[in-house]
Amino acid sequence: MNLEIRTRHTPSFNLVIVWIVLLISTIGASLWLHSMVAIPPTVIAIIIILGALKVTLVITYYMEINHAPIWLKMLCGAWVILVFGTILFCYFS
Amino acid sequence: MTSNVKLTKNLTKHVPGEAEFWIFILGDMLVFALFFGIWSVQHMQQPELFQQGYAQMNHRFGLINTIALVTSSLFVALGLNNAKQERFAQAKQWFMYALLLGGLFIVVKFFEYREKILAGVDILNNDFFMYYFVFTGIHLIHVIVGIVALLLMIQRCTKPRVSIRDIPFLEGASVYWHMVDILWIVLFLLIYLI
Repeated sequence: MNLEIRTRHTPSFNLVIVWIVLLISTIGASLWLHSMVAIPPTVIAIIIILGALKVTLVITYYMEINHAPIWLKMLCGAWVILVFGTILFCYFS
Repeated sequence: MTSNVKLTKNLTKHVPGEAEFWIFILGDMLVFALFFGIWSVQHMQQPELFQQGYAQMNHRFGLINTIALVTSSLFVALGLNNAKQERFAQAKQWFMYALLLGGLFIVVKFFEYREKILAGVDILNNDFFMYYFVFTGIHLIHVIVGIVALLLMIQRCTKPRVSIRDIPFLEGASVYWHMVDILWIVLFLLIYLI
């Protein structure tokens, strides 16, 4: 019986870089927001967009969607647009 | 009967795990998209109530849990990388580190819920806390399922005849754990940040 296991992986160095970016943006956003008494709408918009970028990084590099077929990339991309588009719409309408 | 297993690397296109498993993953993500939508609409309709609820949140718990899940996601990805290079002992170690951080998430969540309940805050207080307990509770169930998946990944890497045949299972379980991480990133944004 012949069995072919198909796989691909992202280099470990890239994974660590993504983690550093995720960590800096998470801690940075948290400290930035809690240093303010009143949060301006532009800051809220930046934080929401930062959240979208963080989710995109995890989907792309940790879930390895960067190597996935186009249909899966489009479905994941549509989810990100749907979620963050809804959040932006509701917080700014 | 002899069996030949061939590991094909560096494919141009590859679905992580089994393609069918993605029906479940995307379905689960859609359900949470609905939760995020409900939260956002409620925030739009009751901005003062949500501001009051937000002020009562202990942001440190949310931040610690986000760091724990993001780091555990890195460990799972590094473990999977090792498994794909047939270094299953190292893969097992990374999965164990991720498991510990998953456990930390549950412990922190326990203390967070405990703090709320001791302060007299419960699911019936108002809409903010009802959605907070329901959505984070459902997410917590996902973390527990993820921990079971991590235990199965560790068990696969421990078995004497572990081989590249186990890669699709490890990939699928990793995708599930990363989904749990993604969902938390959005919950952290909505409940603790904005």
